[in-house]
Amino acid sequence: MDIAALAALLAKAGGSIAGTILALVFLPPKSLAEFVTRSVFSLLSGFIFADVVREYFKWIESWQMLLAAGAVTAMLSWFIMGSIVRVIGAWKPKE
Amino acid sequence: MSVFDIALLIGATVAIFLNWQTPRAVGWVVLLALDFIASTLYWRAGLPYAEAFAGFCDATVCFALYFGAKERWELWVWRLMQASLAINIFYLAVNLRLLRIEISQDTYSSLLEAANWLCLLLIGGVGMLQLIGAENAAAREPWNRVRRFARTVREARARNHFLAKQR
Repeated sequence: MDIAALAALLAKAGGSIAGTILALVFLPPKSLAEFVTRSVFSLLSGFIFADVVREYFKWIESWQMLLAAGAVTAMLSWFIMGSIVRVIGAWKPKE
Repeated sequence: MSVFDIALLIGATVAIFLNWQTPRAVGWVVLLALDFIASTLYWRAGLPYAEAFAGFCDATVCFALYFGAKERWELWVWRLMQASLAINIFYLAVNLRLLRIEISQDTYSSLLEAANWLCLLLIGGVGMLQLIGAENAAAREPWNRVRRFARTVREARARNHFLAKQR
């Protein structure tokens, strides 16, 4: 693996972690289980979709932009995952 | 140090004196002051990504407030610090040219100052209400104009943090 590819991977990982932490600051979960689910979803989404988001917004190719794209994706994923969990929770059969 | 920095530190000292009988409030004011001093020193040193560092300091304070808050007013301070963090993120995004808008450094600094002053006013106000015993008076006089605010001063937070056992 060359240095540039490694730097890109590190930027995406760093962005995902930063985005997840920021989302946690703004919208804390209600339980530990929700925290784990949302964190895993956000970290994976940030890492996987950072390139797509960067290209969609036409941001230049640099480690800063990749880090920002990872953070934005992770934050959005946190909020989306939270909404999905709430919707599924609302449809639970009442005992 | 600029006149604004000195004014803010004087404000923090006054808030500490008003809350002398509430160690938790004194702790939050000291933490806010440390946040302000650290981010200002970093900025003045001319180091890169100063707004990211300021955001990091704000996020640390936010975590401390979220996990350490026991009463409702502390969560209001937490909301104000969230606003401060949002301002830092926004300015970082502008500086990185992620957003196609311009925002001057004066505007950014003024917004952060406003957030800091609101925090100090809130903590100082809570201390003042407790000093004059207004929350007790408000409980006796339902027509009191500060009733709604005063009633929540010493009220426990509605929901614990997610790592603690919920009530």
